[in-house]
Amino acid sequence: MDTYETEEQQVEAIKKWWQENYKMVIGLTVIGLGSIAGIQQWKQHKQLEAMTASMEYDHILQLVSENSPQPIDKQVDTLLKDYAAYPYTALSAMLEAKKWVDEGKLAEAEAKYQWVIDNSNSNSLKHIARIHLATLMSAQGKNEQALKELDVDQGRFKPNYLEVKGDILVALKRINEARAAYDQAIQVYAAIGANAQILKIKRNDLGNS
Amino acid sequence: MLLHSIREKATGWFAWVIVILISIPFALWGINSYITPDSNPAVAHVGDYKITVSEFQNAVQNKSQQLQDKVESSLIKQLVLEKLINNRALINYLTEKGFTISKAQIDEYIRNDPTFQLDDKFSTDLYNRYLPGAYSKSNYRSNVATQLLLQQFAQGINQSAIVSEQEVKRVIQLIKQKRDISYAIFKADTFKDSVEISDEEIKNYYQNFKQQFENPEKIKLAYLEISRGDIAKDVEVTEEQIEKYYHDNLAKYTQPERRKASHILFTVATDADEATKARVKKEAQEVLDKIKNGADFAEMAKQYSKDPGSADKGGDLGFFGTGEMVPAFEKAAFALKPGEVSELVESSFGFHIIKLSEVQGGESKPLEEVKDQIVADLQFEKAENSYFEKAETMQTLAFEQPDSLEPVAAELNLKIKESDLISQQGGEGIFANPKLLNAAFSESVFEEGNNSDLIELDDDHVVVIRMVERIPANIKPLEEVKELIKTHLQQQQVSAKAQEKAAEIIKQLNSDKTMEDIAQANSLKLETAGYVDRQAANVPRAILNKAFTIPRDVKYTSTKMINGDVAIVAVDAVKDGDTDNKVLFEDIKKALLQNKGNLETALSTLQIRSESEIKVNAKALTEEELEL
Repeated sequence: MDTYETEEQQVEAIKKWWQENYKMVIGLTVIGLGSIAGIQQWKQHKQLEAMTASMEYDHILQLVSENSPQPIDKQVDTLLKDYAAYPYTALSAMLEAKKWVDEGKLAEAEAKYQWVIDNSNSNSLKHIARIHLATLMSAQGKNEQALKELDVDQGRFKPNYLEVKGDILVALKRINEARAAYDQAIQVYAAIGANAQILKIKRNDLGNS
Repeated sequence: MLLHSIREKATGWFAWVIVILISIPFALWGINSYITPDSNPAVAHVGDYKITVSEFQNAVQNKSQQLQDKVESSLIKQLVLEKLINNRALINYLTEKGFTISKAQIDEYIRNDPTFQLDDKFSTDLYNRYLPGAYSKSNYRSNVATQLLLQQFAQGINQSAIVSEQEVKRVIQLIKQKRDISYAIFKADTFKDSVEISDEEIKNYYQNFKQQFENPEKIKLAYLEISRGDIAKDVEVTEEQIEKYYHDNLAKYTQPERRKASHILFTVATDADEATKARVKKEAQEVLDKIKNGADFAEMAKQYSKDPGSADKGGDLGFFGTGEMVPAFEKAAFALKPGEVSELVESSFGFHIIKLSEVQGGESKPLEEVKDQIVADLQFEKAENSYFEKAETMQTLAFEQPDSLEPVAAELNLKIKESDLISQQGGEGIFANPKLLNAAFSESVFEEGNNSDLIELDDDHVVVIRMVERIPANIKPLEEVKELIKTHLQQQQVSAKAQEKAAEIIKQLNSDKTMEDIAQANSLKLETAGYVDRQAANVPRAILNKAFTIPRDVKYTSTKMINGDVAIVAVDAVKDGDTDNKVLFEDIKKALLQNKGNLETALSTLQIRSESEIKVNAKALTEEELEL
């Protein structure tokens, strides 16, 4: 470090440094403050976006739970387009699919389930969408295709997959395999303490091999 | 000068001293969280969230109250912990995925919360009364936000459940299925004579299952008890004391006064200016003058009152007691005599004209009527000192001379009483009290034979116990249980024979015999139930269950009844549930949807939990156990 003879010299040195560097100092300060403000604004924007999606979703949820005849596909489309990254969108798509099922438009419903399977970042919702999709396929007689849909990593939804698999196998008259699927499902349900009364009735109806 | 000298020294030892002094607080910053033990340890970590012991204890307490102690506490704890972890895993997950509840959504929820509703409208007043401070409000709002978050997720999944038409139909066919059932019952007794149980068999069974015949350990207790109620009976109470108590506690013997009044309200907004206020006051005064000049109060109320609740009823507010109305109103209403009309009364609502119509209550019961109660109360009150003194003496003496209850009994002039034999399961009366049982089987009393500590059975009842007799656990002698074993073995063998016979009969049925043939050949009564459903009440449960679990293509089966009898069951035909019934279809569909929705919500929670990082702190859990 340089040492200065007098305080005047020191002041001179500071002034000189300032002359040479003030542009950069001011520039850096502006950039710094600017980016802090920018980040804040971006956060606020995101927050606002999430809240809008949340309220949009509440509205859709209300319409579906009240069985309202008002269509919701336009609203879900908006979410799909502008808020695809939000979990509300996947849930809304599931709700729209349910509405299509009620109206008997199974192809539209299938498309929505496929969207959730391809785009959602929630494993739970993907599992549910898959199981619903397979149920719909089977209802239209596409049983082989439905079975393929169930052939995935099943996570904690295993008993649910197995039960639907059993249903499809019954439709295919592959009773031996159906029994095995049902038996396994009953076992897993028992392990997690879930009530499987109807499943047991379905199983009993198949008799013993 | 000063700057100069600092600069000179700033390079030497002085600089180092300064630097070190400054660094110390930084170095120690936060260290206390490492060296002092955590006052509120975690029972579990879910992601970054800590479920604290106190949060856990609160939840356990709430759940126990809800279940009214009908469920074992270790089970409650397990359930509560699972629930807390699941909930937290969900909350973490939803927050991380971008679920957000806005202020507007919280407001909307609060506006519709029945707790804060008055006359079907949100009342700011009630809201402020329930949640007085800013802290309680923000706490409540954040709870609401969490609930809404969970609700958004659960409802979304619940409402999106689907069920296919085929599945509804299949379920209807099955659960509304009817089966044509007939049956015949073999009495187990029929086989009794053919079964002979030897002494050898009984002895073998006794040897093999000895522990079944164990008498639990039992003890007999000697005990001394002091109850405040007993002491109170002997306390003298004078007439003066009774009278004084009566006067001091007159309120207790007085029906609170309630008044019925009508009013005419002229509202003044809280932020109104003086001119407006004066104008309203003038209007009110004019109405008051009309009333004074003979106008009908009720008519005036209908015409002028701005109180929507009472104007139509001629201003009638019904009965009210103290503390129910705004202070100015109450003061005026309680100063009036029935039939009187007040001057203008100013309250936070504006100006009132009040007319008192009726006064109820306010009279006191005469002393004679409540004298017995007062005597009892006084005696109980006066027994307090004596009770606590005696309890203390008992505690001290029982502790100082732990080998006998005699000194305590002599000092306090009490009688030593003895219990029946009791096991750890407890006995009758005070011997069912868990505190007493704990003490009775504690090391000091049970193993070392000392007097117990003072046991507070309740606020006004204490005992000290000691063990006087101990009968260790023992196996009942063979003679005592011989008959029991014999009957048991007999039942077993009879049942086996009956089932053997049933199997043989079913073979016959499957070849060419009919149920009638079988019934006749074995002199059994043939019962024909006809078509019944799964809930039929006219067929024994065991038979019904069996008849509905056999496959459609099986016709004959047998089953053991609760009393050991054996039934031969024939299912002659199966008729599936009617899928054309529209109402039934919708009902079943609804039930299935709900079922599936709930299941999918539950599985989602499990899925999310399996994706979360969860650490249960077994140590904190067991320590917590000791504290409770």
